[in-house]
Amino acid sequence: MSTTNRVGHNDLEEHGRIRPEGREGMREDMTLYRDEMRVWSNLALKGIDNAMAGLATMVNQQIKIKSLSLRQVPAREASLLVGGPEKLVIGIYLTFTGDATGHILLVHQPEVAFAIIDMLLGNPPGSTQSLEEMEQSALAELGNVIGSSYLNAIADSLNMSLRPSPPDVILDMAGAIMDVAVVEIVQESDDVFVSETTFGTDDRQANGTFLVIPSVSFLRIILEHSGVRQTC
Amino acid sequence: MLAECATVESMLSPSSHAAVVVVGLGEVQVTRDPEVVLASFGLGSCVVVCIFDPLTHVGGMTHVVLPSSGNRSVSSTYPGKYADSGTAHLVRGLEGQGAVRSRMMAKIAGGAAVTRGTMPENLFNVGNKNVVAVQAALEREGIPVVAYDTGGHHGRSVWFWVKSGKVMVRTAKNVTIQL
Repeated sequence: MSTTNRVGHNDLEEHGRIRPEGREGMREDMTLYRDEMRVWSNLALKGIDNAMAGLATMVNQQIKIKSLSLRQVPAREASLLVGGPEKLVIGIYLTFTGDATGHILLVHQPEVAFAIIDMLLGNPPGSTQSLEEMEQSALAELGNVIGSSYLNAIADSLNMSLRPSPPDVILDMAGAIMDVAVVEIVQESDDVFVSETTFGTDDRQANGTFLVIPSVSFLRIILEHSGVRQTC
Repeated sequence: MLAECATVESMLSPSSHAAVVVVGLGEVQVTRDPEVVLASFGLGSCVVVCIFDPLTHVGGMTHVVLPSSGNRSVSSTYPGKYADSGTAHLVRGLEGQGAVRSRMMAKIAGGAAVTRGTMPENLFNVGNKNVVAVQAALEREGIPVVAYDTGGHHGRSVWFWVKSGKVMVRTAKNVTIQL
């Protein structure tokens, strides 16, 4: 466990560090340098492009990436990324293991998830009204495709092995779903790094948020593999 | 112990003069203000510990994330992160505001398993482990658990009226119960 290094704003600027959603007192090993940020951003973009291509094929619609950001947020604010702690959402959640570990979460408002299920199952719009076994299976399959597409793109770029878990499909409060990922991260850090992508179709039928939450070791390993940062 | 009851919104109407203070993940809040309602939203595997002294009306809440601090240092930003150190921190805070430990009573809620198994291996069943760790920490402090709503598979939001010691829990299924 490294000690916390408190660094002032001027120090950060002087040393050319970037704080995406910076706060005072972040851990030294959670601070990304400019080059490292670029490496991670490029990797995340490759992964997301691949994942959204997978989604577009499955729902047979053109999917547009509306925003893409890499953020560092205090753990207690993580659920704000998906509408606030009490907001009822449908989350498709999976973890990944292998050379690095982390969490992948695809979050939709329930009515949007239902519309996506209709697209996946070839049903007329408005057919799906609840999340039963068949509907959960359809979203789990979507999670499989998106998760493995994302991980394959990153793993291929870095010649690493990353394996997705079977997805879990959950209808619950956003805070309760985020707890699953955040609980692991807060063992090592007060902040959560998250790659956040919002996407959708022109008619807004398939809008959603795609979050990738790497474990603390993930970023270190990614950067070692990319050759930007030497192993400590 | 549990009963269906009025909506939380009706109990927090402007005429009630209630002031809601949100206790976020890993936070500890202690108050002796009788108008304060401590609240925590969207709990999954996390556990909320509410402790009050019915005589002085001092009450507090901690939002526990993990069972044990082990040999980790506890960050000042998240003093309630662990069941063991977080509960102790809450009790010391209450004593600092004039509550007497022999009169303290606890109510706890949370500790759900919202996934059906997808999670890192070392965190399997972490909700249940949090509940057990909170119960053990309260027992060490000699504080009885007078009501609880724990476990299950759905998220919860919790409101705690420190003046009366009343706790309301609303689940993701939109069921509200009083503890």
